[in-house]
Amino acid sequence: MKRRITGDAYLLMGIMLLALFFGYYSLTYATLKSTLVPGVVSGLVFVLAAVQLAKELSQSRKEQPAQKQEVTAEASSGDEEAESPLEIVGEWWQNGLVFAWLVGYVLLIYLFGFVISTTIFVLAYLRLNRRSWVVSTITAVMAAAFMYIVFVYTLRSDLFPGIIVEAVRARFSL
Amino acid sequence: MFDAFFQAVALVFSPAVFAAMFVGTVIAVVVGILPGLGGPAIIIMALPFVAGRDPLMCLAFMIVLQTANTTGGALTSILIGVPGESSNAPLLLDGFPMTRKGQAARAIGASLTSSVMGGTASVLFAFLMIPFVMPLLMELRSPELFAVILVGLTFLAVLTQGSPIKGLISAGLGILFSCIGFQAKTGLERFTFGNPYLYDGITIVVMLMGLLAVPVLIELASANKPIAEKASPIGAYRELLSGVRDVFAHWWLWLRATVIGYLVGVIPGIGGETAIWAAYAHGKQTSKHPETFGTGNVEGVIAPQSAANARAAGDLLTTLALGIPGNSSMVLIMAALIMLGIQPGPKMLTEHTSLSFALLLITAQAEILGAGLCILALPVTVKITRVSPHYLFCLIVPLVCVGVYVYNNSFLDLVVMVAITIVGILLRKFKYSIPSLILGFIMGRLFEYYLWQSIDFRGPLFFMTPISLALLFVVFLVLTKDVWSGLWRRFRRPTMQGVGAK
Repeated sequence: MKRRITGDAYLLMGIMLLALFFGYYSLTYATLKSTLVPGVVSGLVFVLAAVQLAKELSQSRKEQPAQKQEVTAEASSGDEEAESPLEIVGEWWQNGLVFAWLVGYVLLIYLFGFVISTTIFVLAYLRLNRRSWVVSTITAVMAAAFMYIVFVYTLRSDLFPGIIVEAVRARFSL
Repeated sequence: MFDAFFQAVALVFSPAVFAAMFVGTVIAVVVGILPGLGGPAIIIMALPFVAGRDPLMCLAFMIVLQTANTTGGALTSILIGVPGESSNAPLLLDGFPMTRKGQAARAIGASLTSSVMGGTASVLFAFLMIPFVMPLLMELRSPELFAVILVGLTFLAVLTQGSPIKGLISAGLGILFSCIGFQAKTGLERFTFGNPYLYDGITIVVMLMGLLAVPVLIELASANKPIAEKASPIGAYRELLSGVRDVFAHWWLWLRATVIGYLVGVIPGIGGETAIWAAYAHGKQTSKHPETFGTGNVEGVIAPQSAANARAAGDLLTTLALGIPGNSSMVLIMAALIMLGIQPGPKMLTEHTSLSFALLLITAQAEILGAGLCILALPVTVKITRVSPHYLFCLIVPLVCVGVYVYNNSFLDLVVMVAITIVGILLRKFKYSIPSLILGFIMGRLFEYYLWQSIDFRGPLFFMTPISLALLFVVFLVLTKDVWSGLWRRFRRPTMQGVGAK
């Protein structure tokens, strides 16, 4: 029978690799003072992750034969177990899509700086989520204005200008 | 001593001081709502205005900035799942789920009442305990501080959320992440790979936003449902009153959490975070329904918030009486005292008794003013929970990003936050204890520092002191709690069977 490896098992393997990485690098430091804590802690994390992985694998093997019966039982009894409100984890692809918006926003900041990127990000996000042009534009402009007034005007923060804006400023000596 | 106390009361209620406190409270609550901008940031901005002005007025302004900021940050933790600063992070675990159940005002009521009562009670403790606590604090050395950190980490990892093994893994990962950058003891850089950005390590704001705030916003936006799916049927203020009643119904938990917050907060060098997380863990451990923690249990709001505000008086007392600041905000307040020509330390309480008392009273008053302001704004703030998650995502993500950026003025902080968000989503999905990881990260450097300090001064058997041994025994009991509870059940079963047979 083919053993099913769960997402948690993959994560545990990742944690074990991370612990190995920290452990290996901590051994390269010359003094015991630099090596001891990361070395010991990474060793403990590795062992604990290995124990948890073993539990996870043995549990998934036990659960597999019983799974078919459970599915039919659940279908007849309805969804009795209340979902924790913090566990509103959507489908992976939906999370990935929203995460892509975050990555896109950070890329925009890198190119255009905070104020312009916020306008573009809010406008694009709301438009693609079926809000009207008027609402999207007003919200985007207000968000950018709020950011400018609070952080640049009031708190005197030097917000990241963005490489394109910086290049334009340098080109035209603005 | 009583004369000094009444002088302090007169000082605190003078119009100029009161006006400074009011202005400070409004600023602190508003800034507390902005993610990433914590107490230290606004105190730094206020510092240049302090020099050359009335000492009490300036100090009142700064203490209020620090204290009321925690109250403002609590609102965002409860309402939108974004902690204003690290001390508000534990509140998110049960406060935000309560909001999702449509009980935002109840959670805010419980949080504000715990804050005000915890803050004022800790000032009372501070007055009463000065003769007892100060000599005890002088006895605490590196081995004891190391053991206190270990107790806090173990409590949180083993007792709070899901599997103890996963809790310990999270705490270990937190300690490992805290090792990135220059090591305080040796000055060596570790795990930086020559990259100057990593020399100072990962900042706490990046970790908090990446692990707690952004994953929640992503999950909300992808689920496409408002935070609270139903509005409260009884109205915001009546719901708030039910939160107030909850605190009185759980007065024993409130008292214990306040004492934990005060006692751990008063220990110099540990910082208040250990106190808050330890209070949360204690709340869960002693609850009749520990399984509901993390899903919107009001006890999970009362315990950390009582401790969060109770530590303020403890922090201030240690700074004034010992000249040892407990956290970065207290470092700045101490700097302000020195700028004003007042030297904190053992003589502070005898030479500036009424000023010291006045500062403690200001801490309590700041809690009350901050809570009052939050209550006034309640009907408006609660409406946030019914706003479409798309608006929340696209308006809060820019605020989170700008908050992360202005902390260090570094674009790379944003890149690291995005990477940590992936870790945060994975850990939430597979039910790892994010609080343990955060506490491990916050305490990791101190953990290592006190370990080496202890070994340097006392050798490898540094833990052979009565207080350290007692604390390490507590760690042992917590780590082996499953064994003990198994033995206890086995011991009880024959007895119960015997009773049944009779």
